[in-house]
Amino acid sequence: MSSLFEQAIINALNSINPQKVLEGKVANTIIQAGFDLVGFNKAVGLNGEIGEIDVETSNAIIEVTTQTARKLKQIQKLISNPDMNPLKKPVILYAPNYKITPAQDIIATGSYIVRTQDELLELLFILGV
Amino acid sequence: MPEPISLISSAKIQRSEFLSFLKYLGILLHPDNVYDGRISRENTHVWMVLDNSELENFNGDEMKLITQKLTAKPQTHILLDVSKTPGSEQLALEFACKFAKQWSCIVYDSNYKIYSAEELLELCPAQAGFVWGVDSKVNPI
Repeated sequence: MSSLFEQAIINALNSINPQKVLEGKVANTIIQAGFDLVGFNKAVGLNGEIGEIDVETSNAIIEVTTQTARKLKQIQKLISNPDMNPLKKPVILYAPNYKITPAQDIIATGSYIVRTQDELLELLFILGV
Repeated sequence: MPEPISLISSAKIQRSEFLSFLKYLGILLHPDNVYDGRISRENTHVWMVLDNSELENFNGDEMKLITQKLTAKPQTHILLDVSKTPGSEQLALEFACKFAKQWSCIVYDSNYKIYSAEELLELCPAQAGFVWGVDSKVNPI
């Protein structure tokens, strides 16, 4: 692994928190596939008071979660907040455990939901073209 | 992005009431176009919003345990999105304790553990954060 975020990703992968581990895995997968990682666990605003971005590539913002629901508000914010997403990049929810009904709410916002690394890479490839 | 914690109440709380409560506590209202309020202390933050639509996303087992712990039908869902910086859960707990003094509620944390009102109030004086627990956990899938 060679990246500006190498140490942060290693720390995440070695975390005891499954959420952090998943974030590390997603970032690692993106780098290994040759996509441009431009942000990892990025705090936005003074002391992070606007928000946090889990993973960002040059073409997309990726929200990573082990949760089964309750991410709609965060996705809405990532889509609509100009400080969080000034370039209006597509927003992807990487959520292996997400339930079907709340997933439909995510899709209705115009963002994407993926559940596997293969789905994520395929979508990043499409968005990158 | 932050981790979700749910405050679920048997009271039917109107948004105007919730906003008044936030204002009474001196919480910043409408920090953006999505959330009703935000508490910040240095680099720790909790964003909050009254969002009853999330009640529909709980499965049968979750609803059963939530109702059991609440001893009434859940009517209002407050989403607390807790920043990942250490100490943020303390902020969420402080808010939950103040909320629990106003309205009957339970806490459903991001690790699928449910705290009854009594369990929540026991944590309040200790000023402890929500801890990763294994008992009372629900299968959310």
